[in-house]
Parts: sequence; structure tokens; C-alpha cells
Amino acid sequence: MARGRLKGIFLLIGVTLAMVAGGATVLAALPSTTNYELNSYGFGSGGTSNSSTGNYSLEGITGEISSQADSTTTYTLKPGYVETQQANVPKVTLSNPSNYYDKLLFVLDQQGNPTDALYALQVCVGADWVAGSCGTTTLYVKSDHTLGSTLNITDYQTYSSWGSGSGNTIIGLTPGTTYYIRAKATQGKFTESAYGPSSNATTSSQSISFCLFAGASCGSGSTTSFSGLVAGSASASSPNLGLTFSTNADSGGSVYIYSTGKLQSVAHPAGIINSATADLSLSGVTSGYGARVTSAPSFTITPIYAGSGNNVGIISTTINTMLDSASPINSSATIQLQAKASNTTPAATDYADTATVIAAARF
Amino acid sequence: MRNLTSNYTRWKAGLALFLIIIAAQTLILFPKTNAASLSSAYLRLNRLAQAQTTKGRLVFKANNGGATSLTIDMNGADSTTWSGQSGSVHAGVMAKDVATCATELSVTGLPGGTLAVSGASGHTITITNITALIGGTTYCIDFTDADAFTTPTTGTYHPTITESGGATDTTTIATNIIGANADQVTVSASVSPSFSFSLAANSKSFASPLSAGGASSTTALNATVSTNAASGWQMWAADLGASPGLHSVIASKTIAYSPSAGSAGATLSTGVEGYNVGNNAISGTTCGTPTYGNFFNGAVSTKGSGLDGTMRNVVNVTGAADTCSVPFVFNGSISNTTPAATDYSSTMTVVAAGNF
Repeated sequence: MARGRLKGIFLLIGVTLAMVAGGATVLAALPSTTNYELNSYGFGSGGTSNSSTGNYSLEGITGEISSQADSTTTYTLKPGYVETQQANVPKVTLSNPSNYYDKLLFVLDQQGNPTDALYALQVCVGADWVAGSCGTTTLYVKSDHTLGSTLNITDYQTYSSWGSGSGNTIIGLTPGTTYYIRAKATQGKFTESAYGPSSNATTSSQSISFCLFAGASCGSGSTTSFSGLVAGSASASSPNLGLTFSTNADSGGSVYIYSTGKLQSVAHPAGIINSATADLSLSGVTSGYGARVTSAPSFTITPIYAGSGNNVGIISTTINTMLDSASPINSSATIQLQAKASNTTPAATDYADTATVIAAARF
Repeated sequence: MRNLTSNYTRWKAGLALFLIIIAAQTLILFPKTNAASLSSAYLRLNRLAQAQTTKGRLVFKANNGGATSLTIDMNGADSTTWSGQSGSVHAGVMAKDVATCATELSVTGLPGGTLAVSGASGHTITITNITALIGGTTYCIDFTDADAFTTPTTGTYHPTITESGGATDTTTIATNIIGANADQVTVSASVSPSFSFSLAANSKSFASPLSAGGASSTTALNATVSTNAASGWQMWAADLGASPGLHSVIASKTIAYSPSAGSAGATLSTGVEGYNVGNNAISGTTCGTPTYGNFFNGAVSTKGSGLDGTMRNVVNVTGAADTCSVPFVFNGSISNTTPAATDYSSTMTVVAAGNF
């Protein structure tokens, strides 16, 4: 019996030594193929699966090895537990497609994240973007699309809320400034991703450009004439007036017109053709003078100037809005002046008026 | 006791240091928050051409309430500035109007019973004594001095508009100054001369045979003129016949003009041979001021003057005419010895011309 027990002890020692020797062999010769070798591995000693509170869930494990993450410009290798429930790292593109001066367009690329994934957008301003991250000031796109220095849970928005494939704009930006943006994602109650690659764009300055001309194009002239007005007939001046107007103002802008309000002869001061809003083709309208817009794509034409035929709007000493746009615009317009003399409009060759056309943009 | 005092002092110093650190961290960690922007803001200059003095209108929407003053800096954020390019603003107290723009735009005129506007430094306009603005309200003000603004050389300028007081909203706008008079078009026109003349009929008869019992008159025959001659028009009449007057071929008799051509108008007498031409007052859509010749008889029947081969002035009228008619009346009387005949006639020639 004692002999048998002793034999058993020796057998146990032998097996133990064999296991130790075997383990040493395993540690000394890591698992490998021709191309790859597993540098380390281990067996966990336990953990938890989907341990949750109201806001967070944890896939936990103990006994993992830990060391520094290793990164290149494009990739990051982190040791330890494979974060199988981490959201995919999203991309975001920032652009200024329409000379925006106070906003920029961002478009998220969700990189395969599910529809309930939430995204947060980090923004850095100009020179503060150093070595791939914000310097002194880190800003975030708030849920109202402004920038703020805090990132709250409400600032995480779904792909849909951020505008889906069309994207959305960050508003309240400073003109002439470069902004950098990057996004991170979280899905469900598990680990959020790292920030994705950055994108940048620059806001423009506030702009406005206006040109008035008589003729075919900007710079082509500044005089238009009615030749030989005949009593009872409406005539158009030649050439037509033209204008170009462009602005990136958020609220668009307007084009206005005013003048002395009449065609008047210098030689015969009593000779006056007053401007009026009227249909000059009507026999009851014995004389008149006014303007109508014959072409103005993208503009809203003030009704009195939007008539057809011989319907014209008054050009008076009051500055009247002729064209309007409620949004940024880059367009042109053609304006026709018409006049009609009466039987008693004194004959003269020196009737004249000076029409002033101006523009302003609503920033 | 000393230690206690010392500790208390250290505690105060520590607290102060803590507060300073917190304040510093606040400034560092929480970047300066930009004041909200004024929105839909514009400055409409009445002239956009360079080197022009002009009035202007400011319109803006206050996003936050409470501001009690406003500054427009025409130099704004530009490196090439308004005042640096010969632009300026009216110096000193500036005239303003908040009612006109409010009416025209259906917005609120900038409020303030003692609203004061002043320009300084060639580029800054300050508006003070504003009654606290209300967030979300659009305001306007017109700068009504003829030289409220003097436009600089061509270019795009970026004035800034800044509230102060209870709110600090601000915005930068843009205005485009264009070439000399490039915001104006000269409109010229000529009105062609026009003149029309017509006689209502080419014949006129006495309603009944002339009688020695009294002078007779025809009904009126209108000679009508329309013209846009600025200086008016004239009408003349003549009897170019070989024997001026009412002539009968059958009777070989001419009833002569009475009075003779060129004489002052007169009334024919009963039982005395005579023939003349008169006219009543001109009338029509537009008739100027007339000066009549010898023919004018007004309301007196059988009064007129004679004609001959010379064009005699009927009327001179100042100003243009629209369907202005001269009503001619022919008067005749005979004596007991005037030969009977049915072919007494005369021919009056009437002409008119405009004074262009």
C-alpha cells in the first residue's frame, strides 16, 4: 500500500515536471505559421457579459495582458480584449460648396454603423489644429448645429439627424476661417469609437457684387433712349437695362430703383411725362413712363414690375424694391423701360431722366 | 493666535489663488463665446458709385434683447478700409428718420425718445439712447444727411455693426462700391412734333334766304387743331376769290365784306348789305390761352370781320392743343335792292400752324 502510494507520488511529480517542461517549450516556441506568429496569448480567468446600468453596458473580462497601443498614421493596434461591440470609426467630410461665410457643410460617412448609431463631431479652428488634434480649444457641433465647448449626450445625433447623405451645416462660423472636423460614433450602450480622419474647409468672406448696364453685358453702356415718342403709342427704350447681382448673404438681397420720377424736357420744362404704374396700352392712359422686368431668373419680381406687354411700374423718387431674393443669389435681370406721350406732350428732343439702380445684401 | 492668523491668511490666499486658477481655466478651457450675430442686416446706400455723398438705411434683426446703443464701423474687418480709400461718414451729429423705413418695411423704427446719432473718425457712426432692443425684432433707421456717407473708391467693403449695452450682438456685412456713376442710367427721349387740322365741313348754308328784315347767321363750322407744339399754334383765314364776299354768278352781284378786311369786328345792320365772318370762343380737350383776331365775336350775334386775299389772323394760342376747335360763324344781311338769286356763295380758306 505504502509502496503503491510512493509510486503514485513519483508519477505525479513526473507528470508535473513533464507539464512544466512542456509549458516551457510552449513559451519558448510561440504558435506560428509560415507568415505569422502569435506573440502572446492567454486564458482569461473570468468576466461578465452585457453587464448593464441604465446608460452603459460592459463586456468584461479579467486576466488579459495589457500594454501600450501601437499606431501608424492610419491604424491603431490596441492589446487586450477585442472590442467586438465598438462602433465603426466614421468619416466626415467638411466643405464650402457655395461660398458660405458663416457655415460649412459636413457629410457623415457612417462606415457601416447601424442606423441607431450616434455620432459626435469635434471641431478645431484654424491654427489651433495641431498634429491631428485640437490645441487649446476643442469645440463640438451641438445639436442645434452651432459650435460649443461642451459635448453632451444630446449632441450625439444619428446619421439621419445629421442630414444623412446630404449632410448638414455647422452655423455661426467666422468668415475667412479654416475649420477642421472629425467624427466618432457610438452604438447602443457599448464602447464608442475613436475619432475618424479629419476634414477641413474654409469659410468665405461676405460677398456682394453688382453691375448695372444698358446693353448686353456689364460695362456695355449707361444710356438708353426713346426715339420719337408718338402720341398714343407706348414705346420701349433701347437698349434694355441689365444688371447682375450676386451675394452669399444668408438672407439674400434686393435690387432697388428710383429716379426723378419723370421724363422732362430741358428746353420746354413744361414738357413732362410722369412715371406711373399703368398699362400704357390703354387709351385712358394718355401718357406715362415706367419699367418692367422682362427676365430675372431666381429673383422674385416686385408685382408692379412683373407685368407683361405695356404694364409698367412706377420709377419715382421713392426707392422701390424691384427684385428680391431671400437666399444667396448669383443672377442677372433685364429691365425694359417704356414711355407713352400724350397729344399735348410738347415736342422736344431733350427729354431725360436719370434712373438709379442699387443693391443691398442681407447678411 | 499668531498661527491661527497666519493660517487664516494662508487660507484666504489659497482661496484667492484657487479662484484665479478657476478663472484662468475658464478662459482657457471655455473659449471666448462669440456674441450672437445680428441677422438679416443690411446697409443700403442710396448711391453705390464711388465718390458720391449719399443717404443710407440700416436694417437689422436683434437676436438678443437689451442693447441700448449701436455702432457701425465702415472700416469693419477690412485691411483696405473705407476711410483709407477716401470714404467717410458725416462728422458730428447726424440727421435720422425712423418713421419712413418703419412704414415702408413694416418693421420697427429704432426706438428711443432722445435717440442720438453721430459720426466720427470718418468711419464710425454711433447711435445712443436706444430704448432697450427686443430680441427677435427687426429694426431700421434712415441716415438722412445728404452726406451721411461718402463712398470710397471701388471695391467691396465689410462694415461691422455692433450692439452694446444689454446685448452685444454683432455682424459683418458687405457693400459693393462701383465705378463713377455706374449705378445710374441716363434715359433720354424725343417726342416727335405732331399737328393735325380739320374742318368739320366744307360747306355751310344759311338756314333760310337772307332777308332785308334782319341779319342772319349760319350755325358754327368748327376748325379743329391738335398739336404738341410747345409754343402754341395759330390760325388764319382768307377769301382768295376774285371778288371777295358773297358772290352770285346769276345776279352778277357781290355782297361785300362789312367791315372790310383788317378792320375791327362789327355787327351787321338790318337792311344794309353786308357779309362777314366771326368766331366764338375756342373750346376742346386741351386749348391754351387764346388771343383772338378781328373775327372774334364772342356771344354777340352777327358780329365779325371781313376777309380778303391776305391771310388774316383768327387766333393765336399758347401751349399745345388737343382737339381744340375754333367755331366759325358766317353772317349776312341784305337790303331791299339786293338782287334775288340762289347762288350767292363765298369760299373761305382756313389754315393753321404750330409753333414748335
